[in-house]
Amino acid sequence: MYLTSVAFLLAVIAGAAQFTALSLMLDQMPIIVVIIVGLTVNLRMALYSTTLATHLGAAPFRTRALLAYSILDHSFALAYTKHQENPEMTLSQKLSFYFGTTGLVGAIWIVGTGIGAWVGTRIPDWLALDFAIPIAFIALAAPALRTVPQVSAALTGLCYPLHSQKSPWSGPDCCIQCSSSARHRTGTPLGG
Amino acid sequence: MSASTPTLWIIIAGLALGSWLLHFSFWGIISNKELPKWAKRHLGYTVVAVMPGIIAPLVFLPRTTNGVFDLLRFVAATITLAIGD
Repeated sequence: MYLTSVAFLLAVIAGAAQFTALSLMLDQMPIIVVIIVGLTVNLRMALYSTTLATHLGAAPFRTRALLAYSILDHSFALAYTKHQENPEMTLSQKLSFYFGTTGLVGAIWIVGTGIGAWVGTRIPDWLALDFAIPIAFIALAAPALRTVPQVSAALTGLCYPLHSQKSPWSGPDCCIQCSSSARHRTGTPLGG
Repeated sequence: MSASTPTLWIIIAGLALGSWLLHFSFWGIISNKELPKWAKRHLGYTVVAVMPGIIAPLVFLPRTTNGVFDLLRFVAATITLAIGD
Protein backbone atom coordinates (compact mmCIF):
# COMPACT_ATOMS: atom_id res chain seq x y z
CA MET A 1 0.00 0.00 0.00
CA TYR A 2 2.79 2.46 0.91
CA LEU A 3 4.72 1.46 -2.17
CA THR A 4 1.68 1.83 -4.43
CA SER A 5 0.98 5.30 -3.05
CA VAL A 6 4.55 6.46 -3.60
CA ALA A 7 4.71 4.82 -7.06
CA PHE A 8 1.46 6.54 -8.02
CA LEU A 9 2.93 9.86 -6.93
CA LEU A 10 6.25 9.34 -8.72
CA ALA A 11 4.54 8.30 -11.94
CA VAL A 12 1.91 11.01 -12.07
CA ILE A 13 3.36 13.89 -9.97
CA ALA A 14 -0.09 15.39 -9.44
CA GLY A 15 -1.92 15.37 -6.14
CA ALA A 16 -5.30 16.60 -7.29
CA ALA A 17 -5.47 14.27 -10.29
CA GLN A 18 -4.49 11.34 -8.06
CA PHE A 19 -7.22 12.09 -5.53
CA THR A 20 -9.81 12.47 -8.26
CA ALA A 21 -8.72 9.24 -9.94
CA LEU A 22 -8.81 7.34 -6.63
CA SER A 23 -12.22 8.69 -5.80
CA LEU A 24 -13.66 7.70 -9.21
CA MET A 25 -12.00 4.28 -8.95
CA LEU A 26 -13.73 3.68 -5.63
CA ASP A 27 -17.00 4.61 -7.32
CA GLN A 28 -16.30 1.79 -9.82
CA MET A 29 -16.13 4.09 -12.84
CA PRO A 30 -14.72 2.70 -16.13
CA ILE A 31 -10.92 3.00 -16.46
CA ILE A 32 -11.14 5.35 -19.45
CA VAL A 33 -13.38 7.77 -17.51
CA VAL A 34 -10.96 7.72 -14.57
CA ILE A 35 -8.04 8.56 -16.86
CA ILE A 36 -9.86 11.29 -18.82
CA VAL A 37 -11.17 13.04 -15.69
CA GLY A 38 -7.74 12.74 -14.01
CA LEU A 39 -6.11 14.37 -17.03
CA THR A 40 -8.74 17.11 -17.09
CA VAL A 41 -7.81 18.02 -13.53
CA ASN A 42 -4.23 18.20 -14.79
CA LEU A 43 -5.04 20.56 -17.66
CA ARG A 44 -3.90 23.52 -15.57
CA MET A 45 -0.38 22.07 -15.82
CA ALA A 46 -0.46 22.75 -19.58
CA LEU A 47 -1.05 26.41 -18.75
CA TYR A 48 1.78 26.29 -16.21
CA SER A 49 4.11 24.72 -18.78
CA THR A 50 3.33 27.38 -21.38
CA THR A 51 3.78 30.18 -18.86
CA LEU A 52 7.08 28.83 -17.59
CA ALA A 53 8.24 28.24 -21.17
CA THR A 54 8.34 32.02 -21.66
CA HIS A 55 11.38 31.91 -19.36
CA LEU A 56 12.79 28.40 -19.77
CA GLY A 57 11.82 27.59 -23.36
CA ALA A 58 15.42 27.82 -24.57
CA ALA A 59 16.53 24.88 -22.40
CA PRO A 60 17.75 21.73 -24.19
CA PHE A 61 15.33 18.90 -25.06
CA ARG A 62 16.27 16.62 -22.16
CA THR A 63 15.94 19.42 -19.63
CA ARG A 64 12.55 20.34 -21.04
CA ALA A 65 11.45 16.69 -20.82
CA LEU A 66 12.42 16.69 -17.13
CA LEU A 67 10.70 20.05 -16.60
CA ALA A 68 7.50 18.67 -18.14
CA TYR A 69 7.60 15.70 -15.78
CA SER A 70 8.44 17.58 -12.61
CA ILE A 71 6.20 20.64 -12.77
CA LEU A 72 4.26 21.28 -9.53
CA ASP A 73 1.89 24.05 -8.48
CA HIS A 74 4.40 25.23 -5.90
CA SER A 75 7.56 25.21 -7.98
CA PHE A 76 5.72 26.82 -10.89
CA ALA A 77 4.41 29.70 -8.76
CA LEU A 78 7.72 30.24 -6.94
CA ALA A 79 9.88 30.04 -10.06
CA TYR A 80 7.65 32.18 -12.27
CA THR A 81 7.37 34.94 -9.63
CA LYS A 82 11.15 34.87 -9.13
CA HIS A 83 11.85 34.98 -12.87
CA GLN A 84 9.47 37.89 -13.39
CA GLU A 85 10.98 39.92 -10.56
CA ASN A 86 14.58 39.24 -11.65
CA PRO A 87 14.72 39.57 -15.44
CA GLU A 88 18.52 39.76 -15.31
CA MET A 89 18.78 36.07 -14.32
CA THR A 90 20.50 33.87 -16.92
CA LEU A 91 18.86 30.70 -18.25
CA SER A 92 21.08 28.48 -16.09
CA GLN A 93 20.28 30.55 -12.98
CA LYS A 94 16.57 30.29 -13.76
CA LEU A 95 16.85 26.53 -14.27
CA SER A 96 18.79 26.14 -11.01
CA PHE A 97 16.12 28.06 -9.13
CA TYR A 98 13.35 25.98 -10.69
CA PHE A 99 14.97 22.62 -9.97
CA GLY A 100 15.88 23.79 -6.46
CA THR A 101 12.26 24.54 -5.60
CA THR A 102 10.83 21.49 -7.34
CA GLY A 103 13.44 19.22 -5.73
CA LEU A 104 12.73 20.50 -2.23
CA VAL A 105 8.93 20.42 -2.57
CA GLY A 106 9.14 17.05 -4.34
CA ALA A 107 11.32 15.46 -1.64
CA ILE A 108 9.01 16.60 1.16
CA TRP A 109 5.99 15.44 -0.81
CA ILE A 110 7.39 11.95 -1.48
CA VAL A 111 8.33 11.46 2.20
CA GLY A 112 4.93 12.88 3.24
CA THR A 113 3.10 10.49 0.92
CA GLY A 114 4.93 7.51 2.43
CA ILE A 115 4.22 8.67 5.99
CA GLY A 116 0.60 9.42 5.09
CA ALA A 117 0.04 5.95 3.61
CA TRP A 118 1.55 4.46 6.76
CA VAL A 119 -0.27 6.62 9.34
CA GLY A 120 -3.40 7.02 7.18
CA THR A 121 -6.70 7.48 8.95
CA ARG A 122 -5.04 7.56 12.37
CA ILE A 123 -4.40 11.28 11.74
CA PRO A 124 -7.10 12.96 13.87
CA ASP A 125 -9.67 15.16 12.13
CA TRP A 126 -9.18 18.05 14.54
CA LEU A 127 -5.76 18.71 13.03
CA ALA A 128 -7.71 19.94 9.95
CA LEU A 129 -4.90 18.86 7.63
CA ASP A 130 -7.28 19.34 4.70
CA PHE A 131 -6.71 23.05 5.14
CA ALA A 132 -2.98 22.82 4.48
CA ILE A 133 -3.71 22.94 0.72
CA PRO A 134 -5.55 26.31 0.68
CA ILE A 135 -3.06 27.83 3.12
CA ALA A 136 -0.14 26.82 0.88
CA PHE A 137 -1.82 28.06 -2.30
CA ILE A 138 -2.84 31.40 -0.78
CA ALA A 139 0.74 31.91 0.40
CA LEU A 140 1.95 31.23 -3.16
CA ALA A 141 -0.48 33.58 -4.91
CA ALA A 142 -0.67 36.44 -2.37
CA PRO A 143 2.75 37.99 -3.11
CA ALA A 144 1.81 38.18 -6.81
CA LEU A 145 -1.30 40.28 -6.11
CA ARG A 146 0.09 43.73 -6.81
CA THR A 147 -2.06 45.49 -9.37
CA VAL A 148 -5.82 45.98 -9.89
CA PRO A 149 -5.90 43.64 -12.94
CA GLN A 150 -4.14 40.95 -10.89
CA VAL A 151 -6.65 41.25 -8.06
CA SER A 152 -9.53 41.18 -10.57
CA ALA A 153 -8.11 38.01 -12.13
CA ALA A 154 -7.88 36.46 -8.66
CA LEU A 155 -11.47 37.38 -7.80
CA THR A 156 -12.70 35.94 -11.11
CA GLY A 157 -10.74 32.76 -10.45
CA LEU A 158 -12.23 32.64 -6.96
CA CYS A 159 -15.87 33.04 -8.06
CA TYR A 160 -15.92 30.73 -11.06
CA PRO A 161 -15.58 27.35 -9.27
CA LEU A 162 -18.03 28.44 -6.55
CA HIS A 163 -20.54 29.35 -9.22
CA SER A 164 -20.06 26.14 -11.20
CA GLN A 165 -20.28 23.75 -8.26
CA LYS A 166 -23.62 22.45 -9.47
CA SER A 167 -22.58 21.94 -13.12
CA PRO A 168 -23.33 18.52 -14.57
CA TRP A 169 -20.35 16.13 -14.60
CA SER A 170 -18.40 18.26 -12.15
CA GLY A 171 -19.77 16.07 -9.35
CA PRO A 172 -18.77 16.49 -5.73
CA ASP A 173 -15.73 14.26 -6.23
CA CYS A 174 -14.47 15.71 -9.50
CA CYS A 175 -12.36 18.45 -8.02
CA ILE A 176 -9.48 18.91 -5.68
CA GLN A 177 -11.67 18.91 -2.61
CA CYS A 178 -12.30 15.22 -2.95
CA SER A 179 -8.92 14.96 -1.21
CA SER A 180 -10.33 14.68 2.27
CA SER A 181 -13.07 12.21 1.34
CA ALA A 182 -10.62 10.06 -0.61
CA ARG A 183 -8.29 10.14 2.36
CA HIS A 184 -11.02 9.01 4.73
CA ARG A 185 -12.17 6.28 2.44
CA THR A 186 -8.83 4.80 1.49
CA GLY A 187 -6.37 5.95 4.08
CA THR A 188 -4.49 7.68 1.28
CA PRO A 189 -2.32 10.53 2.44
CA LEU A 190 -2.97 14.17 1.93
CA GLY A 191 -0.52 15.91 -0.34
CA GLY A 192 0.18 18.02 -3.42
CA MET B 1 -9.19 -0.70 -1.66
CA SER B 2 -12.04 -2.03 -3.73
CA ALA B 3 -10.30 -1.47 -7.08
CA SER B 4 -8.19 -4.41 -8.24
CA THR B 5 -4.41 -4.08 -8.50
CA PRO B 6 -4.13 -4.45 -12.33
CA THR B 7 -6.84 -1.79 -12.78
CA LEU B 8 -4.95 0.53 -10.46
CA TRP B 9 -1.71 0.08 -12.41
CA ILE B 10 -3.43 0.63 -15.79
CA ILE B 11 -4.79 3.89 -14.42
CA ILE B 12 -1.41 4.91 -12.98
CA ALA B 13 0.28 4.22 -16.32
CA GLY B 14 -2.42 6.01 -18.31
CA LEU B 15 -2.34 9.07 -16.08
CA ALA B 16 1.46 9.13 -16.03
CA LEU B 17 1.83 9.01 -19.81
CA GLY B 18 -1.11 11.35 -20.44
CA SER B 19 0.12 13.93 -17.93
CA TRP B 20 3.62 13.95 -19.31
CA LEU B 21 2.43 14.34 -22.91
CA LEU B 22 0.07 17.10 -21.82
CA HIS B 23 2.87 18.98 -20.07
CA PHE B 24 5.52 18.38 -22.68
CA SER B 25 3.43 19.21 -25.75
CA PHE B 26 3.46 22.86 -24.75
CA TRP B 27 7.17 22.94 -23.98
CA GLY B 28 7.76 21.23 -27.32
CA ILE B 29 5.59 23.62 -29.34
CA ILE B 30 7.05 26.76 -27.81
CA SER B 31 10.66 25.63 -27.21
CA ASN B 32 12.86 28.39 -28.54
CA LYS B 33 10.23 30.58 -30.14
CA GLU B 34 9.63 33.99 -28.65
CA LEU B 35 5.95 34.41 -27.77
CA PRO B 36 4.19 37.66 -28.77
CA LYS B 37 4.03 40.30 -26.08
CA TRP B 38 0.25 40.08 -25.60
CA ALA B 39 0.47 36.31 -25.06
CA LYS B 40 3.17 36.80 -22.43
CA ARG B 41 1.08 39.44 -20.70
CA HIS B 42 -1.93 37.12 -20.54
CA LEU B 43 0.16 34.20 -19.31
CA GLY B 44 1.43 36.45 -16.51
CA TYR B 45 -1.99 36.11 -14.86
CA THR B 46 -1.77 32.32 -14.57
CA VAL B 47 -0.61 32.30 -10.95
CA VAL B 48 -3.15 34.80 -9.63
CA ALA B 49 -6.09 33.29 -11.56
CA VAL B 50 -5.54 29.54 -11.16
CA MET B 51 -4.54 29.36 -7.48
CA PRO B 52 -7.69 31.10 -6.12
CA GLY B 53 -9.78 28.86 -8.39
CA ILE B 54 -8.26 25.75 -6.87
CA ILE B 55 -8.74 26.81 -3.27
CA ALA B 56 -12.12 28.61 -3.46
CA PRO B 57 -14.27 25.53 -2.74
CA LEU B 58 -11.86 24.41 -0.01
CA VAL B 59 -12.11 27.76 1.78
CA PHE B 60 -15.81 28.52 1.34
CA LEU B 61 -17.43 25.08 1.10
CA PRO B 62 -15.07 22.68 2.90
CA ARG B 63 -15.98 19.05 2.38
CA THR B 64 -14.91 18.08 5.87
CA THR B 65 -17.80 20.21 7.20
CA ASN B 66 -20.14 18.81 4.49
CA GLY B 67 -19.92 21.98 2.43
CA VAL B 68 -20.98 24.32 5.24
CA PHE B 69 -19.08 27.62 5.57
CA ASP B 70 -16.56 27.35 8.42
CA LEU B 71 -15.50 30.59 10.11
CA LEU B 72 -12.25 29.18 11.53
CA ARG B 73 -11.08 28.07 8.08
CA PHE B 74 -12.08 31.40 6.57
CA VAL B 75 -10.16 33.36 9.25
CA ALA B 76 -7.07 31.17 8.74
CA ALA B 77 -7.24 31.84 4.99
CA THR B 78 -7.66 35.61 5.52
CA ILE B 79 -4.69 35.79 7.89
CA THR B 80 -2.51 33.91 5.38
CA LEU B 81 -3.55 36.33 2.63
CA ALA B 82 -2.80 39.36 4.84
CA ILE B 83 0.65 38.10 5.82
CA GLY B 84 1.52 37.03 2.29
CA ASP B 85 0.51 40.24 0.59
